[in-house]
Amino acid sequence: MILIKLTLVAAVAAAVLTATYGVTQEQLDKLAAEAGGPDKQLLEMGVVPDATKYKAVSGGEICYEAYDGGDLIGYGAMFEVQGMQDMLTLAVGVDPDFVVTGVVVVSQKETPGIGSKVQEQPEFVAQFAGVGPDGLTLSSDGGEIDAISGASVSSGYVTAGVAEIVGKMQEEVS
Amino acid sequence: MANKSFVGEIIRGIIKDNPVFVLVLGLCPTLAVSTSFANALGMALAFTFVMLGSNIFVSLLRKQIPADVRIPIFILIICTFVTMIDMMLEAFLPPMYDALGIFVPLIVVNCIVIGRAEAYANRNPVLPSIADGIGISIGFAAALMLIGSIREILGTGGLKLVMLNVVDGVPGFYPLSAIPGLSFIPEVIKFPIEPAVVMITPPGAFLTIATLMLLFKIMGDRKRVKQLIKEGYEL
Amino acid sequence: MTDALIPALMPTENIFPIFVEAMFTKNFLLVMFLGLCSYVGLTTNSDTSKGMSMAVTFVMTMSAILTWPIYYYLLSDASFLGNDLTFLKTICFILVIAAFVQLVEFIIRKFSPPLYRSLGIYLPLISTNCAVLGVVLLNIQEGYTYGASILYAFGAGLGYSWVMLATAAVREKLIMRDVQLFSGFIGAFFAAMMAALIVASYFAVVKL
Repeated sequence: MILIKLTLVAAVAAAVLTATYGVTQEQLDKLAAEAGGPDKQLLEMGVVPDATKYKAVSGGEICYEAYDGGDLIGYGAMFEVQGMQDMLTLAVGVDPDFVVTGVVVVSQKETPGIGSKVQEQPEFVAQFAGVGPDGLTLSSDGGEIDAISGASVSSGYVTAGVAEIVGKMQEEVS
Repeated sequence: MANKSFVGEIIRGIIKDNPVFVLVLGLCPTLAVSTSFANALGMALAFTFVMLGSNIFVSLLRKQIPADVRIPIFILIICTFVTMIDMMLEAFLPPMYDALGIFVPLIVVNCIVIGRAEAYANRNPVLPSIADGIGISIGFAAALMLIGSIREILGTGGLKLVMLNVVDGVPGFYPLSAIPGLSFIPEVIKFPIEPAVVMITPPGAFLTIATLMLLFKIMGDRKRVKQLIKEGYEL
Repeated sequence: MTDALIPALMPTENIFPIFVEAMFTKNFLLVMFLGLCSYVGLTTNSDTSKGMSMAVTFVMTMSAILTWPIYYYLLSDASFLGNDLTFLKTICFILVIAAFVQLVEFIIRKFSPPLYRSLGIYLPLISTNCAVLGVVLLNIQEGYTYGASILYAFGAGLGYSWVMLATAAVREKLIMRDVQLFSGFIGAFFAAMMAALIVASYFAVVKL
């Protein structure tokens, strides 16, 4: 009798959950369709400012070619890199010489109020524009990026992440 | 329990049996997600959903639940509601889902919910159980939002008051000023204090809850002393 | 959200950082805020916290061993069932942990009364300890390999243990001084206050 009751409760629970799953999955699919693929998201964030269209690099995993009409004007990529607490999602755009044109911190789970400044202070990521692959370290390490005061660790992770993504794009393009 | 009013049961859950400050239960989510008012509100809503669902169904099934396996059955019931709210948050409030992270599924093992199922819902009819659920939820929500607000104000120097709202057909947490008639409330209320970042970090969480628990204790003591004096005791 | 691939059984990368992370930099009690009820409630006595620490470390490691295969070989869509049942993971994990804990309690009560007295009485507390469910959920969320997930769980258990024991040592000393303030409800205040200080100095050391 006890077993029957347990099974009954479990069965009802599973049925209810499966029904909820159906509903929420539909919504998730809708959200995913609205957000579009990485190419559409890169376009919306404007990491390569003049790009009107992105096309996946053949054989590449993360890198997208950025086109202004018919001209190849750079590359863009969105990728998860290591942050201080958890993973950071960064979108990076570069010109054909791999000089950074734009960086967006798409999502982060750094310490709220401290590390989260990398996303909240647009001045920080704005520094990346115009920096070549060699300058992608913090100024304290001889690079061209000034860390946010009080959030130097997270700033370092973002900078290292951008360098990592630029490196990956160079690899995939060549 | 029959002579206790619905409202009385609610108030008992908020003050006398406040789950956080008095019973010292459910500390994990209280400390982990109380970095801001918005996160605290999100957690409080998820918790209320689970608390009410669990209390209602445990109470409905209380005559059917065999005593030997009552805990597994409570866990099954609670877990069903937890998974439901987890999936719904993911689908309908993705930013909140990201902010609360693992602490939504962990409501399953929240001692408050299981504790109320065992101590109250399993022994009382549905209506008082609902009242108990509401009271405990408000008590938990109040504690969480109080801690969240204190930490946000001291840690960032401002407070972002938000409400669950639907704007342009998209549900989410929006500033109070998005509600018609309340647009005079600024999006971030600024306080003239130097932000102390430590309040947002884990030590700040412990500091805040320790201070609040002490205050609750002092208030409780004063009340008891007054009661004793009234009853004719000499100090 | 679901990976169609089952991660390799044995870790390919260096797993030592995972262990250090679980034990120190992302300590469950001090940084992740998991398992705090037992931390405040059971650190008044060093014997109690010793028993609880051993039990938690044991159950955490065993749960990681049990739940990882269940998730990847039964629930994920790469399993032989072919359906994506990952939304049932919380409910499955908690039942597995509860059943396992019950079984172990039963076995050691029957076969080893001394072990039961030192460890067994803490077992029922553990199936509702969020640190245990937390560790198995994090293992899945981080996509650890089987080997790495077991090591992570073990490290988290050790991390839980050292904080429990360190705090208990201090609290026991304070209670022994026979200062009324440190016992009873107000003791919880001091536990939280002390935790704040421990965490603050801890943070200064690991530079988070």
